[in-house]
Amino acid sequence: MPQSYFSLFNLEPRFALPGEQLDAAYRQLAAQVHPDRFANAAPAEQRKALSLATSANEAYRTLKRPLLRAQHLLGLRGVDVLDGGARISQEFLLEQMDWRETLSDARAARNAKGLRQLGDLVRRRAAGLLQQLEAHLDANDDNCAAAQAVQQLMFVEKLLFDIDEAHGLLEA
Amino acid sequence: MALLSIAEPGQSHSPHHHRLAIGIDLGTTNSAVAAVRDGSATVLADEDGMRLLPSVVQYFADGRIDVGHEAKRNQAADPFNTLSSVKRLLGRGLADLAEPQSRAYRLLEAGGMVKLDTIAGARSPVEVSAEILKVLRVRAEASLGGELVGAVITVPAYFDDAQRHATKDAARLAGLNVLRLLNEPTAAAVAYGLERAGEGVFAVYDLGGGTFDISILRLSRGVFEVLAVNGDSALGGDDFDHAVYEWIVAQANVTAPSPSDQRLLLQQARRAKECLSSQHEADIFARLSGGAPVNLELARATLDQLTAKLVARTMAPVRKALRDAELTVADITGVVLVGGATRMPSIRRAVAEYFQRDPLTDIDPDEAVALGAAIQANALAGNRSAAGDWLLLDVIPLSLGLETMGGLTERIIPRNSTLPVARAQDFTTFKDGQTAMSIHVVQGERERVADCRSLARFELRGIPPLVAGAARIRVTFQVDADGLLSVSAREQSTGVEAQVTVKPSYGLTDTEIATMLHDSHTHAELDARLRSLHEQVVEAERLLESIDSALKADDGSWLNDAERASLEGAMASLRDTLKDGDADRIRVAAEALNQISAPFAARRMDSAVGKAFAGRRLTDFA
Repeated sequence: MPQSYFSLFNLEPRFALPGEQLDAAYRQLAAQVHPDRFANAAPAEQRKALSLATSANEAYRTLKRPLLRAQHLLGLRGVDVLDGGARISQEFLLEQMDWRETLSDARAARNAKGLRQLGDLVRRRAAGLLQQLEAHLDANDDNCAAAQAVQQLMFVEKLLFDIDEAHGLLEA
Repeated sequence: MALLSIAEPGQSHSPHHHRLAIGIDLGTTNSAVAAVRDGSATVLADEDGMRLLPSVVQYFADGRIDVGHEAKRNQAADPFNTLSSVKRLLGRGLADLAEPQSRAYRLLEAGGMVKLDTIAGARSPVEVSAEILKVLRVRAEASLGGELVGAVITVPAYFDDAQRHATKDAARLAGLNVLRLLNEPTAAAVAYGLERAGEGVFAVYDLGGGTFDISILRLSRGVFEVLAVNGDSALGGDDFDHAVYEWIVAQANVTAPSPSDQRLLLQQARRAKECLSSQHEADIFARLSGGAPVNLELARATLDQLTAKLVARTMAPVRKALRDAELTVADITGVVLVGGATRMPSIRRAVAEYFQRDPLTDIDPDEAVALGAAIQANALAGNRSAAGDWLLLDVIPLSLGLETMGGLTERIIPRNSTLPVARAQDFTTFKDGQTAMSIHVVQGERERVADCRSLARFELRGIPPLVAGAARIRVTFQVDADGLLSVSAREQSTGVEAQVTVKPSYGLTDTEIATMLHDSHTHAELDARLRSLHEQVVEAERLLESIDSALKADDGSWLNDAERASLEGAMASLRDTLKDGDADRIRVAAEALNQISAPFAARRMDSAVGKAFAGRRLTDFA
């Protein structure tokens, strides 16, 4: 059974998680275990603080990003998204290929407007997937559907990252 | 102290005693030392009232060493033995140095590190930096009138692991206990944040003598959270001087200037540049060693033209940092300027234009970093802060990775991860019966290993001989709060801890430091052995004190009787060794006490943190 980052912060293991609530919990824990609090402590305590603060940072990073949070939550329920199981639909893959093509065309043509439009479109898709995830994980307890949505979200986030990078290249 | 500080963070273990700690800005051009006195941070001046110490060191044949203003004046007269801007050489190999200004010295390569050939022998940048730090330590001791608990030393945020190690080595060589390495822009933000009590998202634009950093920080309810850093560790005010120098050489038709002429003209270039921050024209006058005069007038507009490319070069990292922080210019609440080079009007204009607001400059850009470091040092030493309880969350500036097949980099820890951070990666063997594996650790953002900085090569030995692909070797990268990396490895299927040999490509081993300390002490008034005994005693007393106060704080409710007896036994033996003053025996007894107290420390942290976060065991997560 993997360790629960939710319980580290004393949070309910739910996908819906207000940012401020997580931020506050993280700050409270970091304030207690950060190595700066142990600058004069015995080496054993310093090592302990280092490892606790490292866990707190890893937990925060994981719970802050919806994709990682969903993956972690599924992991706690015994579902490993990367271990196969959920199948990606043909329809979704075709759409992805279509978007990838749009991206490489826009990049080649240095078309900032095209990049922005594609970005908006993909971001809307990402937002839709997050809504689905919340329903699958929190309301319906449908781990299978959730795993599928997580896989799709992985594609979508990678695409968003590449769109962002293409934007960066245009700016530079 | 530490155990107590869980209950009440920031509280000193002995409230009547102020522990002396300093902040040092070890700069390319100038350095400064500051301390918190009577609740506020001040830069400590020397006997002549000078607050900045030029980072210039002059070596003499008789072993004498001059540091600061006097050395700076002698640069042109004694160019090879008067070393400036050595910060640019810290943690660097000869191959890393493409910069023309470093060619002013006689450089040697020694064990992958650059050394400078002087009349007193070859000196590493670490040793030269240690001389600067020593002067500041002595200044602080004289000014504060007591023994220092330790120091916070600042480094450019964009310094890599090798440069950080080199800085820490220099501080240890100077006899300083390093409480923390702190990023310069973060230090400046602390000075601004705690003095001005602002909240929001701040950009710190830090152009020093040799390095450029941009940091984006969020300041909220006492937490300084660095969101992203970027920069160029080989771009600074020196480059502006050099651009002016090139202009002088071309305008005055100087052919093949001698080393002392080069230094002279470089000094004139710097002076002219500095004048042009307040004037519109500057005169440049020098008499070369051959007798020929140089007489020129430099207009501010010409300076701006000569350096426009350099100013533009700082803007790409600014854009990248904002993007990494997932913010836009509109999200920025304030822009802080740090570093002497930000006095240039062209820089101020460019920054104001980009961020669409006037930058904050009310703390002296040469002093903000040292002041922030002093505030942090004061807190780390366990003194109560006037600003109340606050916390710094910094990030790692450059990604850490491993070399994989085909000379490509596999990223393990991405840049801008909050410190401390750890990540693990599993490897396997590719040959039957393979018992060793070589791993190459690199730092940087590029795809090809050759374009990144090589940090260390590890040999994992003692892997059990299994069929190819059966061994599971988990390599864990741990980066601590100083931004320093350590690596450990473990074979998962058998639980065998594989032996890891760390060979830093740069930096010094502990033995080298010990030897250097010893060498320097044979010249100096300090007896190395006495010093080491003294350090052991201080260390042991600290340990005893921390356990004592932990026991008192909650009646040792986290111990059973047998445990308490063994803990008290170990404490008694340590107290005994303190009486006879044998450094080695003290060390052994202290180590034993450490071992015995370790499990209790963990248990106590659990119970203390548990009071705030009911119902969980933190040890489950570590």
